[in-house]
Amino acid sequence: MLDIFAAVVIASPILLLVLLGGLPLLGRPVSETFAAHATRALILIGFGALVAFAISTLLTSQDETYVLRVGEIVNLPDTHFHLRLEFIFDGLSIPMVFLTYVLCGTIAAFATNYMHRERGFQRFFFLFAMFFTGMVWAVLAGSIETLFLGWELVGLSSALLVAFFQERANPVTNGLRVWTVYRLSDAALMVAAILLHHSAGEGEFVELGGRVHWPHSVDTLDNGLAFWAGLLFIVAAVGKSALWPLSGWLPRAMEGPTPSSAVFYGALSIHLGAFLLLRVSPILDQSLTLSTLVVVLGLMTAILAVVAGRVQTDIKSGLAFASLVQVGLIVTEIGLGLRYLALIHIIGHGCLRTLQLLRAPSILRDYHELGNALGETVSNRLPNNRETSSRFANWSYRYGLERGYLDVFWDLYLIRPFIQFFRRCDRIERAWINWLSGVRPQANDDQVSDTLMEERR
Amino acid sequence: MAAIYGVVISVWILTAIENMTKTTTDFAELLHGAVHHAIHFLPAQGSLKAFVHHNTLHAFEHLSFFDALREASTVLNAECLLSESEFRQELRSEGITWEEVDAVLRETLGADAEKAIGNLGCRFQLQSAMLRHQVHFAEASELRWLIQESASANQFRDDVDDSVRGAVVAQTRRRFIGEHQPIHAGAPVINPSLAAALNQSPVGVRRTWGEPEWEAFTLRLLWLACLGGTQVAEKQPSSGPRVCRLRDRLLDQFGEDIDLGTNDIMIRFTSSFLDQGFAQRSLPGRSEGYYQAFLAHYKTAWLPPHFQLVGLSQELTRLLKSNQSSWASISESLQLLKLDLDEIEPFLTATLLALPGWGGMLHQVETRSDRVAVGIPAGAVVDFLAVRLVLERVAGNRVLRETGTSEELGGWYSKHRSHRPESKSLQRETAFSLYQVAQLRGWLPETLLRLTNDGWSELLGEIQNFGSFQRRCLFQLVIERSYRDRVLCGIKDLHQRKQVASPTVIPIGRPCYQFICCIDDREESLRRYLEQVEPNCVTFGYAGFFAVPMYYKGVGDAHYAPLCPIVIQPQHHVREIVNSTDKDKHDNQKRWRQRFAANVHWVHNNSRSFVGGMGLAFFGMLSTLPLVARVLFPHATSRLRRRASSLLAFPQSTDLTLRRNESPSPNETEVLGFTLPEMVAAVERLMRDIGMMTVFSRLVVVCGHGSASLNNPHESAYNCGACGGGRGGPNARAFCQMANDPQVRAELRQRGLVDIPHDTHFLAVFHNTCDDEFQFFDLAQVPESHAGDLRKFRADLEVAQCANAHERCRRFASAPETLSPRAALKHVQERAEDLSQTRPEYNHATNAACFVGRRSRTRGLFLDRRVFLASYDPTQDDSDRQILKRILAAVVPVCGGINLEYFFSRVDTDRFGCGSKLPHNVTSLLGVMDGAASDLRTGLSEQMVEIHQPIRLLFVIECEPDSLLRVINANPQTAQMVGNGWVNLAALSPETDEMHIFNNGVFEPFRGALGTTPLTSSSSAWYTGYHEHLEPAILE
Repeated sequence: MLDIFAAVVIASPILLLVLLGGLPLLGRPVSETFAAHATRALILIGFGALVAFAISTLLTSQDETYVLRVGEIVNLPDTHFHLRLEFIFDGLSIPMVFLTYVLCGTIAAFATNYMHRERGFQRFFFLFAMFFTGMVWAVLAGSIETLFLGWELVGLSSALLVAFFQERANPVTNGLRVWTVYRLSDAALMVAAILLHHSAGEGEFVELGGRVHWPHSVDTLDNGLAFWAGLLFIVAAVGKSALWPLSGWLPRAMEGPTPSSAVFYGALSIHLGAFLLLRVSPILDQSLTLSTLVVVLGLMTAILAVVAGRVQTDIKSGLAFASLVQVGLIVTEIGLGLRYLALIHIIGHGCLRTLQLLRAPSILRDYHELGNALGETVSNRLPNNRETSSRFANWSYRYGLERGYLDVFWDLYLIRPFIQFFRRCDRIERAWINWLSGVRPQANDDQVSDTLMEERR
Repeated sequence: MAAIYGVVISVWILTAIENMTKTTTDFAELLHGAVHHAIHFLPAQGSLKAFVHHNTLHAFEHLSFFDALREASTVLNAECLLSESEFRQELRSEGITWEEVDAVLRETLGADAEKAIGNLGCRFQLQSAMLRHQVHFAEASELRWLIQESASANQFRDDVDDSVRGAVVAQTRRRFIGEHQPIHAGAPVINPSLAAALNQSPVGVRRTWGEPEWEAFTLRLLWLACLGGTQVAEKQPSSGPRVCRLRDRLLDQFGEDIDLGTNDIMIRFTSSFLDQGFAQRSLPGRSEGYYQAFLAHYKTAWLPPHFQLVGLSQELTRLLKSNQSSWASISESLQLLKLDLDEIEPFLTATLLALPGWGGMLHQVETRSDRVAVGIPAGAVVDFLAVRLVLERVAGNRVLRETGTSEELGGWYSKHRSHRPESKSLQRETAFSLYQVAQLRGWLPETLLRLTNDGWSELLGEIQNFGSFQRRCLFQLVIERSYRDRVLCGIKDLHQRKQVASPTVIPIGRPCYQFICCIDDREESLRRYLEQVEPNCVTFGYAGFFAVPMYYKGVGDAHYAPLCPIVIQPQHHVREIVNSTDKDKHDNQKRWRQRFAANVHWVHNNSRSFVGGMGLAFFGMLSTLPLVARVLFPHATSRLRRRASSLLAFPQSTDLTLRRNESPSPNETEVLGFTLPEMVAAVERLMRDIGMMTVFSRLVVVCGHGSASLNNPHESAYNCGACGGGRGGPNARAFCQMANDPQVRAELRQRGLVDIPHDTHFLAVFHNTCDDEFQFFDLAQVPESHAGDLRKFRADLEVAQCANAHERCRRFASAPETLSPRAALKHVQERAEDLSQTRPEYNHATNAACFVGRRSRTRGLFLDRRVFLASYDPTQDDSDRQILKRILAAVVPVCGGINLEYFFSRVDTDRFGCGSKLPHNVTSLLGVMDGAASDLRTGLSEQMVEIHQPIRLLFVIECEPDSLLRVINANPQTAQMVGNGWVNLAALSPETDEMHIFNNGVFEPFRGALGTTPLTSSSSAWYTGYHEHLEPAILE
């Protein structure tokens, strides 16, 4: 019975993705009503199965972690290497998958109305389904390969949703920025996966955690390897959760339609990095260096976000930095080994932020009503509204307004040199090829013969 | 000798000094003029808290309409009319035939219609063909693709008549099947290329050709002829040198967009500078002004704010040391960029228009500091411009440095500044238009080849003078004409019908009740339904502030807000106070509300901070409840919320501080209430304007309106325009209290002005146009004797309310068509309470006309919520038309402004409107940006204007044409708007059904096809099943 429930929980998002993506491929455009109904139905079915699963585990008071294994893709018994899809339902993944279902379901209902008559309605729901699938896979993943699949889907759909309004330049530029950072963290995760397989021959979290269920699992890897794997996991988490020093993309990601901003950056995908750290927390616990690093990164992020958040003037950036403060704190908690606390923190924060982001356009009205009730304008009540002009105050204001100078730092010292280096290589290569083939630089494309008819014949 | 030298030298020095100072002051004047001229083009929209509709192209109002559109489209780089394909769509959906288009074209051309163009037909034929068939414009690269890849090179266009095609091909075949004979006349350029074309396919080959080959050959000749012709024709004078921004030239040359960095910094800094209290810290040095604050903010940094702005802090330090004003900084930048004097103005305009929204908001906040919570130091726009120039210089220098260009910026820019499109590609593009027209008109290649150089010049001149813009202007006229004819015929037919049919439509004797509401187009349907439910009632329309301009502060409000048209500065303050019996209860509630709000505020701030947020995160799970409930069950949740908040709500028994006995002393800043004569004047004015002087029913209802919706930053744009984006309930209430005041009535009677009967009671109502709910004021004051009248009115209103909601629902694509009226009311209520709803109502969308006259002239006509209805009785006006004058002085600019704002937001939603609502991000508590950072978006959103049909407002005014002309010309603003064609005008004779149309300064009689207006049994029968605009119909 549990198998069926678990399978439905995982399969219904996939079915949705196949429906919304497959039909247009077959030349059948998806109508607004169909997309809305299909989304609602499949989310409800999946959620129903999830509730049923939770109830039956509670009733049977099953203490063991439930694992669902699908397909054996590679199995090399000689080297103890095998690769298969594996999902686990334990104390960490069940709350997270609940959160995913509740928030994605709510957002889907919201978007049905919100995106009505929008040209990209179909595209939005397709990307939404991709995100939803990726999220469910990632949180339920029982092995690092499965996690990687979900992780990738989440990254791809998030970047495409940032660039949702593709006819303007800003969303596309910012989408590319998000994508670049995500690729970096993807690469780190990938290398970590290879590293684990290489040494332990498998990537199952259950095995890695010493077959003790979360959160009491312990590390079974040898120390040297654990350190490097842990470090790579931290890099992956830093990119995905916009931790310091890669925080620059988060406020820039607020380009998509409001519901996508809400669910992706406010509530779910921003926590994926923290979730990864929770999942591999046995590895972190083994090394004081790694734990300290996590704590430091978390605190740096929180401090940056508090300083920057206080000077933001638009609601979406304000909420983005507010999210970042909490994510920083969550990561700190993980570093300190407070696993349950971090999990509760993730869930509570996700729900609160989604609500805040969804009603972000109400800010004018809220301030007006608040002002009326208080009997004075809201700004007068702010403690720091006096113009402070101490050196530190000016500095921190500037630091906040420039968002910690992170973007420009990477631009100047990594991205520009990188691009310039390869441009130079490109130039050299062209010149070299031209020299080899004895071709002079190409004539300007516009210099065509006078009559266009002539060209045709 | 030395003395003479001395004198000569000192004279020389003095002259030189004088010249120098003269040129400096001249330059300063020039600069000031240029900057102020540039500021003029910025959008004039203030804070979103009080949205005031105005003509988006206000800066061009001194020009006639179509000239202004052409001018604006170049200066602002925007589309000012629908595209040709959109117009064709409109023609189809409105059922307009090509004969009607031809008629308008003939009328516009006048005597020039028959002007012959060589032997290629007349101008009318040419233009008509270009209208009927879309002449595609293709840019050079697209053109190459079309010629190479598509069928357009060897097949006639699909829409060319088969007989025309056959004739042209046959004639060409006859001419060229044999040996080629040179074409004698014609341009020398053509013969060689023609010969080349013929040589490629010699006679023998040509003999074997079938129909398709000959068609291709014909077209090839035609293309050669057109291409050759454009080369030999006289060049049209180009529109003068265009000044390109530094950024455009750098982008063309090096592929790097310096606006990326510049805009990034300017948006961030400007929004901090303008912030109205969203950020928890305000910008240091803000009171020093924009320029100084900017210098101080960015002068020291270990990193530049953007990678494109390397070297910024050095430049700013230098500027700080030189201690110059922003004016001096601008002129320094201009000198460094080596701009000529005559280039300065277009250059500065283009620079300022790089971020028009933010520049405009700075200007608005600077000049209207009374309308915002936090003002800014003066001179902000000039500072903004100065900073932009500094940033562009820094970024430009960096690009030159990085690309290894040795020149300094000014020299480089002056060398590359004047930029013209290449003439060759322009020729090709023109040739392609000509090529299409030649096919459509069935011109023989040979005829074209024989044209002389002058002939070519004439032909090309004709084609170019009827370009896309002119064609769209004509389509615009056609669409407007079609609507005008239908409305005017509707009014005429209605008149005819009333002559024959029994006049029961108009109540005789004392009406059952009288209903006065705003002239708003949204109230048209409500009035129609009230009249339908109770034929013995009369409705009136008056600007929704009901002649009571005031600053108003409700019981729950913290501040006074102006409730009157934007042009009026109120002289009176009115406060809503709680009756003494409820005082204690009220104070108690107020304390609770305050405590509650303080907590909400604390939560709001601290959920974004460190420690507070952490605590909240644990209780955050609780927010799943409201989240899920509000999204999935908006209606139920809002009912629950309302019930909960009614615990903290204020008691209904309040009063207005309306009455004051002594006239105000001059040093009183807050003049509370109106004196008796002022109240008498207000009541008399409204009565007189709407012509309600003799007949009074027992119950007179005055209905203000506003709109409430959730998650909508543009909420105030949906409110009453005559209340300056506020809600008109308090005005209605104040007016009713004045009119009910026995002293006021006695005074009115005594002065022989208006005799209001003792048994007449005025009742104030507020209409929420979003959820169609009504709120009644001062019900306790309704006398016992009027309880029956009130009951009757409320019953009627309930029916009208549902019918009104039902009619609105036909426009919503997401409302099922099968809704019953009651279900429709529930549907609109749900829309208003839904967080995810981006179209709570359609506001003024589809507005198209404004009728000023007696309701009896339009009563019984279905006007589809597209018409502003202002009441005016010409029979009660004096010969000088004093009443009409004051009505039009307000109605023409207000309604015209609303109409034009919708017009331009619809035709270019991205440039004049604020684009789609979906990515909007409220910033600085002033306006919205797109996504993370963009220019401040002004105008109306796509979701507001998507169903709007952009036509200029048609005023139909019940007045004789000659006196109307005098009235219009008496007021400079109306004279300008009407005279320059920003609104259309028609005069309806008060006695008969004669009508005149205003055209180029004179009234011409209207001759429409009478009896064409459809009849229908009821409104719902007419509209059910239709989402589109509906023509007027007479209700039987």
